[in-house]
Amino acid sequence: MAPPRSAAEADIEDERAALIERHGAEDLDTTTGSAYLAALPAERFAALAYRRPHERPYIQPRGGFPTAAKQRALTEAFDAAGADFIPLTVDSHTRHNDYATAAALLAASRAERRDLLNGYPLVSHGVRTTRELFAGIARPVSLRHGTPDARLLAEIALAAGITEIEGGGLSYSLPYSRGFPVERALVHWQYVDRLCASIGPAGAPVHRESFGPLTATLVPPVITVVVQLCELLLAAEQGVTSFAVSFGQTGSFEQDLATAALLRSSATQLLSRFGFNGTRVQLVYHQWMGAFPAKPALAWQLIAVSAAISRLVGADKVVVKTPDEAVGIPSIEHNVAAVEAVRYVLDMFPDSRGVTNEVAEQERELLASEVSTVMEHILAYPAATFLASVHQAVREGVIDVPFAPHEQNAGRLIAARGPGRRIRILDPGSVPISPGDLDRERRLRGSGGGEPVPLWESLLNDIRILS
Amino acid sequence: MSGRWQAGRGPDPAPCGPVLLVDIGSTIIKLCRYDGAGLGAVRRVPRQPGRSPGEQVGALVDEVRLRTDPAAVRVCSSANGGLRVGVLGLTRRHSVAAAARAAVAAGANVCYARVFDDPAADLVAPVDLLVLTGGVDGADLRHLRARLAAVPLASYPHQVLVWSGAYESDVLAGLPVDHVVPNVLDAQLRTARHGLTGLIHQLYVGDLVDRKGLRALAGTVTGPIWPTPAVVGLAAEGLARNLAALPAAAPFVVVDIGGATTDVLYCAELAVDLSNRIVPAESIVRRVFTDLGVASSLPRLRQRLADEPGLVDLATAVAPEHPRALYHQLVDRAELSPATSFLACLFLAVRQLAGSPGQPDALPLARRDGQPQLDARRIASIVITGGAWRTAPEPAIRRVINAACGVPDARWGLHLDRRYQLWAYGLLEVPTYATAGGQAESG
Repeated sequence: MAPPRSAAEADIEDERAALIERHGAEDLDTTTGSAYLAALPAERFAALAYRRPHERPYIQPRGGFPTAAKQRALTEAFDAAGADFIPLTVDSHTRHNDYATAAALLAASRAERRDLLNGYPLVSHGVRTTRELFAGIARPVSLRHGTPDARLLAEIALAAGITEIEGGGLSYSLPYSRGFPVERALVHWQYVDRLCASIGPAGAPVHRESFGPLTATLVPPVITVVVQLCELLLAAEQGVTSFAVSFGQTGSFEQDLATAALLRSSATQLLSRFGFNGTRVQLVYHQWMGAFPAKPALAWQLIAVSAAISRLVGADKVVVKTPDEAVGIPSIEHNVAAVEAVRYVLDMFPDSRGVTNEVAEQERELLASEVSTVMEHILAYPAATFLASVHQAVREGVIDVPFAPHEQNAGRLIAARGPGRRIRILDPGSVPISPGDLDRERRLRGSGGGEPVPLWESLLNDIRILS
Repeated sequence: MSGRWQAGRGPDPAPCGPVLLVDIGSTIIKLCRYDGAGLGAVRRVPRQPGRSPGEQVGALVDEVRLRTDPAAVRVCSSANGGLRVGVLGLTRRHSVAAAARAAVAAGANVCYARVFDDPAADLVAPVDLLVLTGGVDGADLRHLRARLAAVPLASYPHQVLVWSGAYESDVLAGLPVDHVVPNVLDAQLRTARHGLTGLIHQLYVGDLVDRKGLRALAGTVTGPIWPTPAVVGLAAEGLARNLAALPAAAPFVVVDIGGATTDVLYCAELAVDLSNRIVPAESIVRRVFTDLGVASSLPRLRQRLADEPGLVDLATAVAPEHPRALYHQLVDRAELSPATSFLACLFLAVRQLAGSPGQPDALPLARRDGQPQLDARRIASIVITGGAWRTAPEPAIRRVINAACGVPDARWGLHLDRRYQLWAYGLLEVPTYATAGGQAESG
């Protein structure tokens, strides 16, 4: 006899049942995922991989093709190249819940023998086909997408044996959507978090990962860290016990060191403060997510340096780029080559944790003060739930992601690069940066010397800084 | 309750003899008998489709008169929020404030209250009545003339233009004024509202009578029909004078949720930019939400919910054990239970007044920088009236108000008008001038 359901469990179980019934796939019901995950080998669980000692960051490529045959070929190639995590990157139509268009373009891709989707249409392929992609693969699979409403996607992914779900109500709405209401995205990601928390077998939880790079364009570290901490707390509230915070290469080595250190320490402190002591936190580093150099030779240098930094900041996983980044969707060959190159670089830095310097320490101190002010502001909202507080923070511009396309994003914070290519806040908009910290930001930016440059030109130069 | 009412008589004392009190709502007709000492139980009769309210009420009154002693009859009726009024005047603290109060007292919905010098807003809501006011009779009016001449009337769309300021024959030269009433300010800058209140009331009731087919009540009603919002406003003024039916401490908020509208009346000192209440009896601010109601406005309520941010708070407050299910109901425009409809109206109205930024630019007594209009931290009591609250549990009402105000440490008392009598107390308070032209009351 099943144990009696709590009201909260009933609240989401009824929603699950309705969602799955509406989808109408024969191979999916509310028990499919838990049953399949219970029988999955331990090496397929991301959370268990993270628990194993790992001297270097795990390597996580990206990759998605429309047809199952090509996706299987990519998966086998990654496996052979030694990628530690296998990706499943979802196409844009599926990300926006337009399953009908995704299905039509999948059919056209097959008929015309060319890729008409920029990723794998997971909902169109369904559970059974997707399971086959990973048959015989003894590595965790990570779902990479960008979906504000990922409830059905997560259901199918988990039922297909995917044990790591990337995203969150903020990180997959503000940078990825223009009009999807943020509150609704947060509510839908609450579903995903609770599903991930409850569906895995005992001792092998489904792993959640946030997406820290956001728009990857002049995002000051304080915004990155605050978004990560909010999504961590939102997930922990729902029972998630294995979670990765992440960030993208900032362009400044010192800010990367500071961001990594602060993400780890703040995450631990917050979890402890709110009693989520059972939640383990990992750190993921994204190679440069901004405008990439089109020349392959430069792109390879950037990938190599990014790989080195991921090692030096002590990341648990690095998400790799390919030399095709500036051009389009990477080929299988270049994807494999990137995995091999990153692995080659990572192995050059044995036992290299604990790197820091005076500038990095100053950056960390400033960042810690900024993050503390903003987080305390959000936590002080008199809302009934933390989700409502986070939503209010977005509405009031307390969380403000530069260059985010979302119409609910305030877009008032302005940042630019200062000495050392470090990202400095010029105008915080409504982000509650203290006067003292803002003064430090401005002093650290300095006058820039030379001729004054219009702000738009400065921003454009900053955006193209590594391209 | 009746004892408190009897104990304190306001300037317009309640009638001595029996009175039958009738409120014609959008879905329900309510009748209550006052026997000279206290109020009886409120009888609720659903409106009959296809029959004019006037006919139905006439029949109900006849029925009551057959069973009991002849009584005077006082009637009030709602009209989807009342006339929309805009006020433009010379000084914010004097003429504009006085005219806004006079309009509120007549049951009107004051959409904006501005001074002549305010920069023209980009988009000003059209109103039924635009009231111009300013100056003191007998004083030098050069300044007033100059300001009036510069008013961009085309920027304030309206149906009827009213002058309620200082009068000299040339003051209004060139202005297409439809009605001139006595100045809302006397020579000592005190509010003299009856001229303007009376006009708005006449226009309002005329509109009401025509739209609701209440002419059949002529000869039955003692005095004119009175707008329900104004009646509730009178009851609120009684509360403010500590005379009325409920032991609700000031400063208070009264929320009256009906089938078509939600009315919120609150003590003016709660407004964030008006900390000193000079004349307590004339300091009730009213806001009406014509899209928040539990019956005829239900489609608009559901539409609004689908578009409204921040409903997680509402869902959590209404259904703490299954907020997700309710949240999806709200945003998907699903059918709502009567209790949820009521709580949603309550949440949206209170939040718009007390809890969230982004208010329209030109609301009376509102700050122009988008801050809340009403300081929820200073509320001492919240009174809930109207028929809709009865299906909602009291703990849920408290949670919803807390969520809407966003001030968890506020210490306000909740008073539920359990016998649904606040309107009746207000109708007993109808000023004598309002009944003077009608049939004499018995007793």
